[in-house]
Amino acid sequence: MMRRILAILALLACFSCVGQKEDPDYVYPDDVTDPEPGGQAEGSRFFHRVLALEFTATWCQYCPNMTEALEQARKERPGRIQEIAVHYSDEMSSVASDGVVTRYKVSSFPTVILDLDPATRFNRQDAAIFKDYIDSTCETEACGIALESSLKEGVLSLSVKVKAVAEGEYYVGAAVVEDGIVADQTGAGPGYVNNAVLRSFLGDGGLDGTPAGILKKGEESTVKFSKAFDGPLAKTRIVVFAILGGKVSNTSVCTLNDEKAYEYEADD
Amino acid sequence: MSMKRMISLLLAVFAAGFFASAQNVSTIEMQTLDGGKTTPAEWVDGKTPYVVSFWFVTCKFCIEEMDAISEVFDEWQKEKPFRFIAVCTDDTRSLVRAKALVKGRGWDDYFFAFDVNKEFTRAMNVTSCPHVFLYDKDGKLVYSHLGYSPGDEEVLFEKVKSLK
Repeated sequence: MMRRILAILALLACFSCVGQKEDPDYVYPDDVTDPEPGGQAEGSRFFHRVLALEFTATWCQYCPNMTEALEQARKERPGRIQEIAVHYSDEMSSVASDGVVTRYKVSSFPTVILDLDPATRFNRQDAAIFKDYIDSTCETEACGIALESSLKEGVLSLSVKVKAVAEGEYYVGAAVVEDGIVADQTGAGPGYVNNAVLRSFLGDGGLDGTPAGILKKGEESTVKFSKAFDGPLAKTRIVVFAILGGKVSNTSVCTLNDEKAYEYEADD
Repeated sequence: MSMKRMISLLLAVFAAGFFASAQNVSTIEMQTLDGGKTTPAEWVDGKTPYVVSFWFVTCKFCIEEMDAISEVFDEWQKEKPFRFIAVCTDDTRSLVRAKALVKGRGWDDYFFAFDVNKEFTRAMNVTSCPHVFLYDKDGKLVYSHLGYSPGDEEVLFEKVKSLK
């Protein structure tokens, strides 16, 4: 809790440094803050987090049930799942989200795809599905991800370090998401809060990511992104995912003007 | 009580539960467009297959699918007669809007059932729309499909044509 408060204070301090207009009262909702993983400074295995693409829309009657199922999984498996809400044909949809819908040929809402693997496609709003997936995948080793983000003179910069878990060709993707967007939602009513809404990707690769190179186990590579950014600063996070063999190996998330070291599993 | 009798009793209880559940689904009452009642049991006529399509009023893909089938429905009837039963999953708050949409889109060839309590929707495990189910003339489920992309209606009609 103390760390969370300090992080929020630090973030607010950063806003004043860069002179952006922000809502000083904005506090990340509990369900979008990133719980502390193992809390280890060093360990034998990297903390493994699943990426969930949640295809959703304000016109979709069943979508709030899916969001609730994902939230329940996140509460029961703290820090193990990071969603990106991909909106379609509503006020939160974007060029980026339309591209993702087209890529996965999603024609039924809600749909969730895990770790960018089309084989893990779910329509049923059941937290048990996600918990089972998390339990099965988090046993497998994941690559390490360390992040450093900054916003200076309207340019968002992100540096991503990837440490290979196995030899292979790695790619890094980065999605800019926005929290706390209030909209009328079919199936839930007015005043519904939308979090992790996909706004854009950093880098030209989009979901395919930017090449990080062919790495041997334990080898490290750095990928840098930069993009013009006009806010809103306080409600924005960056979801970063490392891809190996066409699937997400690991996922991390940071706010703006943030640093995140490699995260490790807690010792047994 | 002997072990044999106990097992028989348990099997009888399970069987009774299973048939009661199957019967419950077929007797679930829904509203019709003119304010009457309909049940899934009434949809089996022993003559023609039928499609049950779950939709709701704000579902863009549902409307696309129903428009696409509506356009070719008369033509398809000449080739292979079948019925299209559109089950609306909206609750009572959206019922007026749903009925207005039905009239406005000119979906005159469809039969509409309004599952305002979502009882049938739940019984069919429908959690995402559009979701279509194809039944043969005797009410046996032969095909189901979730979602709609242009061309899916052709696949559905091929399945309809393959039925006796």
